[in-house]
Amino acid sequence: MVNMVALEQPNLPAKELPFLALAGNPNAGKTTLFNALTGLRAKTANFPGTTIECRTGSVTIGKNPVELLDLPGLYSLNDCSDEERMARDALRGKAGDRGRPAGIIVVADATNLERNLYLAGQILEMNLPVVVALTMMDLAERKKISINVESLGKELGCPMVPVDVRSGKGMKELRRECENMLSGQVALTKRPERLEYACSCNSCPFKAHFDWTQEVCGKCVHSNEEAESDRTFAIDRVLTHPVFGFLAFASVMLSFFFMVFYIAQYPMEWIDGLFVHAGSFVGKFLPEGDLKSLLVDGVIGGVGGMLVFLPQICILFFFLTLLEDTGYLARAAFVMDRLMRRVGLPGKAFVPMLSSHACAIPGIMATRGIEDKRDRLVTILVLPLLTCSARIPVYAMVCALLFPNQPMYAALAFAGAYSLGGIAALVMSFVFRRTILPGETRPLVLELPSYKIPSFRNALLMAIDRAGIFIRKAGTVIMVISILLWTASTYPKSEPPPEVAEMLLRAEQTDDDDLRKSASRLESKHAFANSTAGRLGKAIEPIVEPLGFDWQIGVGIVSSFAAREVIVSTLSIIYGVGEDAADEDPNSLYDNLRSSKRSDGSPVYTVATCVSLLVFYVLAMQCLPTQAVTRRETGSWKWAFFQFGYMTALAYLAAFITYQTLTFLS
Amino acid sequence: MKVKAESDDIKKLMAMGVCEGRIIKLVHLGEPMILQVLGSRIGVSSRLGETVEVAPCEENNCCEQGNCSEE
Repeated sequence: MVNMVALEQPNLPAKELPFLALAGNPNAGKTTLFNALTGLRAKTANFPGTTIECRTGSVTIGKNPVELLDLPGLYSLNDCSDEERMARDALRGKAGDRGRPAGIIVVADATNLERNLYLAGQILEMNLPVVVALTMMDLAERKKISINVESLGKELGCPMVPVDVRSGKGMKELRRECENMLSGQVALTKRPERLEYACSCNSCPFKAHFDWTQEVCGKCVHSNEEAESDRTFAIDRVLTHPVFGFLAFASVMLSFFFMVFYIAQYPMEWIDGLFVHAGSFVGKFLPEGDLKSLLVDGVIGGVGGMLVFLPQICILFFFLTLLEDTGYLARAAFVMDRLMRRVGLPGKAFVPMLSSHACAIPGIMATRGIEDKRDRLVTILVLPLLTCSARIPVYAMVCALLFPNQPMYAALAFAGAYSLGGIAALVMSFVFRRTILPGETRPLVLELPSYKIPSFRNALLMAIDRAGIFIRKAGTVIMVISILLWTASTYPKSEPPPEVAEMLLRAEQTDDDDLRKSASRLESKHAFANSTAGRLGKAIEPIVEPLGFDWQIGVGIVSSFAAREVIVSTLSIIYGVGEDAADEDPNSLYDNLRSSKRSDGSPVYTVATCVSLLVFYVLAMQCLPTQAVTRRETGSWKWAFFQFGYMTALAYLAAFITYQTLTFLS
Repeated sequence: MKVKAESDDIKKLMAMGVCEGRIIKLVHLGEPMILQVLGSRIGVSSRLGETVEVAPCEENNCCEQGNCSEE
């Protein structure tokens, strides 16, 4: 996996068990080895006091439980990045109160030992027991690279174990060597003599280390001169080509987008249905009243509203890990880098941007592949501007209002709304890079690894891990705020208007079900309008009036603070159509909206108001789960509030200009 | 080859093998460019690439190492 930076995870637990550290270059097969050793027992944690993510897992070595710490992928232990500093501190025992590791497993890619031994050389200098696990031996064999493992072990002064995770070959030996490390049977390593000599002069330390790795490889590794992977080279000619590379990227990403967006809709519907049934089931055992409403609408509805995103998150990370394992993701970042850099975004921002068209939550979580904090923050800030699936019901409603019986124009308006979101995201990233987060995007330095067959097990474990993080962290915040919103839309209680009693009486006498439903709708409308959310909507009417909105739309905006699509059901309640009418018969809602009048008798939903409403919902945040995930990923509410603030201001300004311009023109 | 600059990105590049004394092959010239060093391919922004000073290596020496340079 690329080096992921995650924020606001639980810190590494204090030292309870002896621990072994797993270190290696990116793409050396470290994660695969870690997963093979720990499986589902792994969990994600932070280095103490930092935002650097690593994974830990318990593993039984011999008969003793041991903690395995998976350090981020590293090229060196220099001060080039936070990850390198933190990894060095962890190995020196300066990260929290865990002390030094009982030993280090260095994962080295057998197909590229000369480069991988640079990090191994630095680790050997740390005077700790070290075992080197040689991965990709099968690939090395195919490339006609032969390694004298015994001789290499002597040169490095530590045990050397070739491993093949897929077949399990070498895993037993690796465990045995780990047991030896824990029992003190593996000697502490020391700086290789040759390296001692080379670094004693004033030469470049990089050169000195690589001279040493070259010398070691010269003695122990024999490769065919023509062994350069022709296949990788040939594929790269296409995939990194300025034109064909972009076309390949577009095809791969369209398929990827299809997976996330299309396949996820089925499990999303199942989860949604499951929670609707759970609500009905629980509701049967509870008397009518606030407790029932709290449990069914607040708690079950809130949890369901959060868990419905899980399929997208799981599918996104599953396919993202597969793409990364194949080596393609690095090529895609390479191809996109030139285009994205123009607006201040790194090439790696393309996957989160694409994913955000399904949902901003997995998109924001996918920004972990972006190493630079500023680049990542800019990407997170602009992602919710891209049209997600939750905006579609709102677009559908407004487009139907604007162009009834004109599907072509409605489709164009729809496409325009999508484009507006995309353009706004690019413009805002450009603005942020020149204002609050100044500076050039980090220049690209990206290894293009050899193409490999991906590991489905790795992808599955990653999807499970990310789903767990989402539920644990974002879920609690979403749950609390869902209950707060339920409270705001339920209290204070108000007496139903006298017409309700009359309508119910008449319905009783005539056994008229429709009349009974109308009475219920009128009661809901009245209760909602008098609740805190309803009163807030009325209170903000002077603020939203310049956008062409009346108090009823104001109520819709307030109630859809947590989820933008809620405006459709809120307007259904407010206009007395009934909460389910938007799904069952949307035309009844649209007819009601079209015929609604202001106090002066003029229609509310004019073209100017409709376009203004569309622009507002394209640009406004109006999504609580996204806010919770932004807080989690940036580590503070500050950026979540800023994101909410700038998007609301942008939406307001754009809707204001739209409404005033269209009103003036008409 | 020599690298004439100092920043975290340059250090990362050097830790990947783009440093003094190594043989580098220019696989693709453009923005970004692709370099090949120590058996790996690295995508590098041209503004970083500008800090890398290269000299054509002697043909025999290069070919001995199986890494005939184009640069």
